[in-house]
Amino acid sequence: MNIAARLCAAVCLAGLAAGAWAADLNIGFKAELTSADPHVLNGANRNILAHVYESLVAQDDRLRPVPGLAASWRMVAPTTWEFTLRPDVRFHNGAPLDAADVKYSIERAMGIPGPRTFRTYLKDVREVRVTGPLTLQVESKRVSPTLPENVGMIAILPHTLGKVGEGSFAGGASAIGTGPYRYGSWAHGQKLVLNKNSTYWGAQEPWDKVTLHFVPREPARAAALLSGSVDVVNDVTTHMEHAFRDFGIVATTSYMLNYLSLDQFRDDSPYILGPRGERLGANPLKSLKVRQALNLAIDREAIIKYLMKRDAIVSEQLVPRGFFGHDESFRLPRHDPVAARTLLAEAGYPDGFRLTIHCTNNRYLNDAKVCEAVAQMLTRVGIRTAVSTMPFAVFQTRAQTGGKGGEPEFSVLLFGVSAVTGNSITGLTSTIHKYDRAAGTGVSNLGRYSNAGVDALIDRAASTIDAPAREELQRQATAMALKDGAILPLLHLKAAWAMRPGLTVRPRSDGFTLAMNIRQK
Amino acid sequence: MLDMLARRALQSVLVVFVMSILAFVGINLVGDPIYLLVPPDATQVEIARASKALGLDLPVHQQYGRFLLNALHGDLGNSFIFNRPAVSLILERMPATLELAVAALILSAAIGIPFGMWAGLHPGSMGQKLAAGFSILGVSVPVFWMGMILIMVFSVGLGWLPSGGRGPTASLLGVQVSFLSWSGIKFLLLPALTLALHNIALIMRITEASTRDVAHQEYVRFARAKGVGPMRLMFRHIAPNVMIPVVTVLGLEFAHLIAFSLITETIFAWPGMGKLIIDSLLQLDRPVVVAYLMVVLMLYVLINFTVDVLYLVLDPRLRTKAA
Repeated sequence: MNIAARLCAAVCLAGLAAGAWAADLNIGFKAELTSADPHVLNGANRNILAHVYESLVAQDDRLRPVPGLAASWRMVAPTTWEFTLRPDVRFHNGAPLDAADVKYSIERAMGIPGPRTFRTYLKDVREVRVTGPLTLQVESKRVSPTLPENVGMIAILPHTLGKVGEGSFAGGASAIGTGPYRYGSWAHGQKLVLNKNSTYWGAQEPWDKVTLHFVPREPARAAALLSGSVDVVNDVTTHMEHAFRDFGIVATTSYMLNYLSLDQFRDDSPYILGPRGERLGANPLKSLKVRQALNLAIDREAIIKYLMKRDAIVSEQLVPRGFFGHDESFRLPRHDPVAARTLLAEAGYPDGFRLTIHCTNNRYLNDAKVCEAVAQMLTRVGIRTAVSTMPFAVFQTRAQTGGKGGEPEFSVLLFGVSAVTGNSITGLTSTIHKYDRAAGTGVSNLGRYSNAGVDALIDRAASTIDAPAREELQRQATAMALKDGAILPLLHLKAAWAMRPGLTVRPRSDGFTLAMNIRQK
Repeated sequence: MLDMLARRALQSVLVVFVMSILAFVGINLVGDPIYLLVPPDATQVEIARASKALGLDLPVHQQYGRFLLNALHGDLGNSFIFNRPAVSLILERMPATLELAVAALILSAAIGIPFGMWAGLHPGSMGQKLAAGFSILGVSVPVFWMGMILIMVFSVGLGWLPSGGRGPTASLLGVQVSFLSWSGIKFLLLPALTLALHNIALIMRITEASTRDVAHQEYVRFARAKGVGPMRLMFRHIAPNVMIPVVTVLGLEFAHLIAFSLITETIFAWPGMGKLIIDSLLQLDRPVVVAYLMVVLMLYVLINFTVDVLYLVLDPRLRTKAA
């Protein structure tokens, strides 16, 4: 009897303990996985697959580079970076990580056919050389201070995979990484199951099983959280705040900048007319005073306060506070409609002019509404502004090549740029630098802004190794360009998550939703 | 009969061909998908290379020629986004949509027909008024709103049913289905009801009107005078004649349920074709959009054909004519 009771107690306790340890996490995730191959660049795949795969250089929650699979890296020659790997890392199949795996992975990423590749991040890489079991050197085509961050985008796979295609990742056969979770199973368009990697080199994860449920619509994600079928949802906006009053919400400023691009290359801009609808023959946006007037006309605080609410913050730079290249001391002139009218008159437009601004209506949060607000503000100072909105798919082609001779079509447009590596150099190179097809600069410079002084600063920054000096150059370039009205930054969008009581989510600036950042209180 | 079938087949081929041109040209007019595929800071050289890899650098008629040639070999192209054959992508999600549509169709018929017939046979009764009221409500309430209300009541409020997603699936004749287990049906109930609501109301109205019509006809009165029992009268004499318009509508509605399940699928995060086509349209995933239109078109053709055959079964006059 006694023995039986004890036995029962022991069994019951063991059962309880097992129950307490089996921790499952369910996440309501907005985007769906489109490819299980970590070297295929598309949408949210990098976020999802970061549970399974790791790279040489990781990013902390503010996107600053921190050691990942590489314990350290240094520049050994102006065009050579040397990486030293961690000694204790094993792949999910038990094989130890060595330098050959890194070489294999970078070369595979560079050789993936089709449009969805990481080649943009690897365009500086000339060669990867294995110099020891745990050391390797990456030779770049030119001096490349940001090479470690860019190589940090590439997931490291075991070289024993050889030549494998996307299909063998989807089924899980080749889905072998070093990350804290193992690839479980993927139901297309529905969910991805991840299981804890109990041989992980770093700290063990508290979750045994993590399931990402793909729920694209916000109300559906909200319902899933409210009904308890998921524990955490991503991409939460202020619309839902009321519904989530018993739940936790965390938010952080993201890397996404929304700005207005201004046509500064045509003498006769297609969507600008005189105050009576006549052709002007001159492009007012070429005048610095007009660009300054536009900036003074826009009340960024009001856009945040009445329209975006807690979903964005005012932006006067390319990157928000905490990012590489942010300048604490730089401010744009504040909203002042009277001064804007004066400047317009001084520029030769006392009666203003007519303008149509073009915007997406499904790309960024409240994009069309922001445009309407901007149009009203411009109209108040005498620039009679109409708004034309369209889906991003239509917008993109017209914005890039819709004009005469394949030029950008629009005069003024709302656009977004994201500093994926947490560094303002991305925005400087792609949206501020002079458009140069061969050099690959200014690819998103749709106003074709061009300023030799600014370009020289950007070029110098792009090849300066010393980080503080480089950051200073980027700040100078940003300040010079924005004072010159290269673009009009409007706002930085926020990323937000909601979770059931008892959980905490550490927000990341790239909006990534990682089980590694979700903990039990 | 064979003659009719052959003519139908020829018509269908023509329809499919014209539709393929419309779909292909239409989606080409929208915009160039290449900018949606490459990273935002990709250089022009990379964009040009990616464009070439997908054949997007060719003029539209050449692209269409390529498409047609491949289509004749059964290949509708690879999805730009998923880099897998568009058809397999669609077929993979089709069971989920079909399951939802069939469940909704069964609900519509099982609820709509009996209540409709009852209301038709008892005009002016309380039940008839209730049925009429319900059918007006059902036709006019928007699907998305109904879906959300059902979620609020049954998942968030009562916690009886899950708020979205598809339940565990099992293989039935090689197809993944979720209605074989109770836990799967729990996921299916709310979306199926949401999708069916409009149809229940529609079927109820049509059945009611048609029953009233038939019940007053000479042959029914004659049968009654002859002393035919009420059950036999109902099932042998009234029901088949009532069913002809109902079957027509059910057939058409089934195609609608498949093609327009996308709202319900979006609300309930149901991983079907509707969700896929919306995503593909927004990302200009041309091969998937064109393939989807083709597949849905085939379904319509097939369903209409089935309805024609069902007519023959239900209406003996057509049978003799066809023979």
